[in-house]
Parts: sequence; C-alpha cells; structure tokens
Amino acid sequence: MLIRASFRPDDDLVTLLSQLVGDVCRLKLHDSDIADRFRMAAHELGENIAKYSTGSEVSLEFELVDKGELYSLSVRTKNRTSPDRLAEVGQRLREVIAAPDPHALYDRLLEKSVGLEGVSGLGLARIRAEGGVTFVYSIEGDELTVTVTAPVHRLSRHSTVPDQLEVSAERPEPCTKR
Amino acid sequence: MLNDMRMLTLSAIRADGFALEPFVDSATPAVKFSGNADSHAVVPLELFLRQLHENLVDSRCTQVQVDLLELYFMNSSCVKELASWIHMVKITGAAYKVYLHINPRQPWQWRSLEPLRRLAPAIAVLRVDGQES
Repeated sequence: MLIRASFRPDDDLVTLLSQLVGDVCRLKLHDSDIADRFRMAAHELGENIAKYSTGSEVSLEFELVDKGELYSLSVRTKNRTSPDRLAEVGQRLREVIAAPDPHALYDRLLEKSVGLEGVSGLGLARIRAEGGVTFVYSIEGDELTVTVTAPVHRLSRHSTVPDQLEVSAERPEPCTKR
Repeated sequence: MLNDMRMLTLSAIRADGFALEPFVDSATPAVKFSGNADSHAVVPLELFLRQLHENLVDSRCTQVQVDLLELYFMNSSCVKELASWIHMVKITGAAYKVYLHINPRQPWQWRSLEPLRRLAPAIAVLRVDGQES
C-alpha cells in the first residue's frame, strides 16, 4: 500500500495526513502502538517540511509492504529548503543516526529546549527515540529527502490482512479524534 | 492550601481540535487535556501553563493533577512546552508536584511523557490506573 501526497506547505494538511497514516496502520495491522509511532513520525517529519520549505510544494509518502512474516513500514518526506536549513538538518540527522542511545540524546535535547521560544528542534530525535525506526536521508541540490523505516512483525491473530481497506468487527476505535 | 478563587482565574482553552480545561470544583487543582495537541496548540498551551504555574505558586498548592486520558496526540513542540513548565517548577523551587494521568490504551503517552519524569523525577509523576512511576 502506498499513500503519496504532494501539497503546498500547510500544517493542517500535515495533521490530516499523519492521522491517515495512523488510521491505515491501525486498520491494516490492528496494532495501535505501531499506528501511533508512525503517526508521530509522519507528523514530525511533515511539520518540518511544511515549516522549512522554500518551494511551493512538499511531499509525504507512506508505504506499507507485506513481506510475509513482516511488514515494512516507511514514511518519506521531500522538500526544498535553504542552504542554512540543509546544513542544520544535515547535522541534526547525522547526530540522531549516530546516537548510540537515542533516548539519552532525546533527553539531552529536551533539556536544552526548555524555555526556548519557537521551534523545539526535537522532532527528529523524538522519532528515533520513540518511533523505533531507522533513518536514511539524502540531499540533492536544495532538495532534502528523509525516510524512516521499521520492520513490523505480523500479529498472529491477524495472519491474513486484507488488501482493501475495510472495517471489521475487531477494528479498534481510532484514537485520532478531532 | 489551595485557594480555589485563584484557580478560577484560569480560563479553558479550545483551539482547533485541542482543549485544556481547569477544574476548580475539587480540593486538588486539576487540568484536563483532550484532542490533538498539534501546532495550533503550542502558543495557547505555553500561555496556559505559565498562568497555571503562577496560580499554583500563589495558592501554595502542593500538587496538580493533569488528566491526559482523552489526549490523542502531542507534537514535539507541545512536549517541549510541558517540559518547560516542569523545568520552571524545578528551577523556581516551587513546592508542587505534577501528576500526569496517562491512558494505558495509548502507549505513546508513556513513551512521550516518560522523558518529562526523567527531566525532574521529584516533580513529575506518571500515573496509570493508580500505578505510579
């Protein structure tokens, strides 16, 4: 399953898309915990591209691939941004990827962020610490692509996952009410 | 002792799918979060928490209960605002504890709020169904 959205940078769309990512995970995997991790990752990455884009369009993709015993889940964002932002986010991504203890890194950044006005600078570290995901990124010209991926074990009680979206009696209530 | 009249100076906040409500009808000051705390919630949350802190200090409260049971999402900027509040309690030597009541059906809450407890373990307490961390 692939969800791909290209849109003008807009926080409200980021919120809607990340809720969709969470709801699709919940529906397909019947796993609220995974759904919340990927909703959070999509939201944090989405807010970053919306906030720092210098282009008129950004993109967010969510992919869920059935690999038999496992699913591979990924969120990929792309945006065009300024050289300063590319340098800043590149440094933060290297720091987050290299961190031997993502929770310790997140704790340190959280403590540094307290009392600061405006942005938190915590999103990427939070995704690594709380999302249990692997980061890959690339910078080509002024375009930044960030992908987070995680393998997810199939829950045995749902060994057959339908290809089409459908509501079953076991579907839990979405936890993304607005 | 809590001065309830002081607590009445706090107004509820509703911002695009997010709500913050102070409760003044009990012996213990309490605040309820609900909805989705995304980018629209950041500024109202910061202002609310600053005012809440002033109220709690003025009223010499020893604790505040924070009900998160109906909170469905919190972005990192809102997590930072909660961390800033708890840090402010810590550095000003305020004499109250923050009890964060989390929903066991939403494991993200534990993951996202446990760092706040680590930030100030003497001040921030996580509670799940009566259990405490």
